[in-house]
Amino acid sequence: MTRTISYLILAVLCAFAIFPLVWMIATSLKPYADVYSFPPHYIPEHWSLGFYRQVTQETPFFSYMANSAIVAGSATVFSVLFGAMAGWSLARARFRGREIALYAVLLAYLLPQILIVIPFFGLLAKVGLANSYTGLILAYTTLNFPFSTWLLTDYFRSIPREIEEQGQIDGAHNISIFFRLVLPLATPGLAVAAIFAFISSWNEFLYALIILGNGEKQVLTVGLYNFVGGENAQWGPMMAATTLTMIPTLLLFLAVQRRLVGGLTAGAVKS
Amino acid sequence: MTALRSLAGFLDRHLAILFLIPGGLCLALVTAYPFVFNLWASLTDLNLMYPGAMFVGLENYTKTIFDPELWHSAKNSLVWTISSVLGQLLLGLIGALALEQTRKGREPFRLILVVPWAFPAIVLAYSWRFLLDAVYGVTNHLLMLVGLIDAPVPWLTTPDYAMPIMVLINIWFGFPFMLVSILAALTMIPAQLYESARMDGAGYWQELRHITLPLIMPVLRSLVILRTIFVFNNFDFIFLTTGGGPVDATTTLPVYAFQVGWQRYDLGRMASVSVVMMLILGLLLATYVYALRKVRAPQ
Repeated sequence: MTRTISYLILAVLCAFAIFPLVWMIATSLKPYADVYSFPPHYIPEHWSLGFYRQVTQETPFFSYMANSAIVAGSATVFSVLFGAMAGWSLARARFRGREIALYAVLLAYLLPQILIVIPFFGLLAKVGLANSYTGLILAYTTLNFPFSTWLLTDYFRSIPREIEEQGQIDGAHNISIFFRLVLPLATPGLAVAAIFAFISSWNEFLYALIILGNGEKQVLTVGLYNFVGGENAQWGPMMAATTLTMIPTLLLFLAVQRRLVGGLTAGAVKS
Repeated sequence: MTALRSLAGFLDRHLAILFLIPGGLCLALVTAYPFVFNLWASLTDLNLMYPGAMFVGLENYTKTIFDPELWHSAKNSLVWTISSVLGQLLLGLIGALALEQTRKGREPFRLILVVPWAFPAIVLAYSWRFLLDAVYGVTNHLLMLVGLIDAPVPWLTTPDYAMPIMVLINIWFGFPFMLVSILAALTMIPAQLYESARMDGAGYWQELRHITLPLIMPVLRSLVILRTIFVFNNFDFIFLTTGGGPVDATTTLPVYAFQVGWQRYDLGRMASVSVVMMLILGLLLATYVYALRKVRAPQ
């Protein structure tokens, strides 16, 4: 009995969860006339790649996408590297590093982005880095650094200390122990932290809007906002553009979603 | 040469401290500096249009506190935050409990249910605006098919509907996180507890009330607090979907702060708004912590 009801509930919830994605993809593949009709065409009579052609040929979509890849990729590398360094420090420290990292994550959440972004833009303008990728990469690195640190602190804890001690007996420097012994062992943790950092940087909007302003240098999220966000909504091209934007993050996200929560819940239970 | 080598040795021995520096510098520049700057700016007439800034005491704060728009936005923020978080929690809990009952097909269900979580704000905004569009929106057609409405409704541009709809969108986005977190907590409950309850003749609802809910309560509490912070501070969902409109119906505090600072260039006022905003969030969280103080894991 409860099992039948459970399947019913899940069916309704799944429909609610997936419908916007399904409708977005279906719309992006319809010909022009089918999108602008009411009642809508639920089952399209024919498919068309016209909107994709329009978005990729008539707008700087690919150049925005490349900009996003540069910024999100760089921020991913830095936030994971800095997070691994800090995480190793905290995991090996005598003080209770894990709790400190946890509080850093909470504190980073607690401050509204809207409060941080404009003074930070002012700082960038003072040193001549307004409208630069450097500024945006620095921002995204910092936004992801606390979570990477937190995740990796846990990860390094699980690596037996004897491995490092053996390295020390062999006379290796700490720095080579870190890069040659510890980091390779932490590869799965690094991968999760990297994917998380990449997705959140790829999806971010507010910092990019303020720091990069308008123009060709923009990243994908703000680019979408500018080129299809006018008063007369161009739903067809818009749905093609949003579908293309989502594909990389959706795939990465589905690959790691299980891992993102495990740590968080364990933390919540312990604290 | 030996000096250099001993310096390298010294640095290597203190590597644990050195390794904290890059991340620490990032936090100092991108988090601590803006925070302190903001406190200072809130006491000045700093403006994007004019150079220089003069100390004006608490003038920004008095202007902010006596601005009816602030209180209107604060009310919107509370409605937005509390109803979104409750809705996300309820839907996440129901979904997790249902998923826990299934034998087959759990993994496909899970994958479908986490999809909204992967939506970037801009894609969330555009796809929902299209779904709810007054002229071409599929929502209106579906509701007309089942007879709930007679004619298409412009959901996002009707002041009375805009906020409830934004909350619904936010519940859609946020319930997967709750669901997956609660599911993880459910799997940590020892199976023996249920076995012995069943031997005593307990049914599903009794198990839920006396075993499941009490044991996951600490997780629920943490989730509610985390999510409240996230939803309260959220800016881009509303900014990109309704822009705070129609006529301020969905202007929450972050959107209001953005309007004051970035559209009216008044950085001093904006800084005071963000300080007031943090105080309101602090009060809300303190109320939660007080209300939930008795919620602890049973020994």
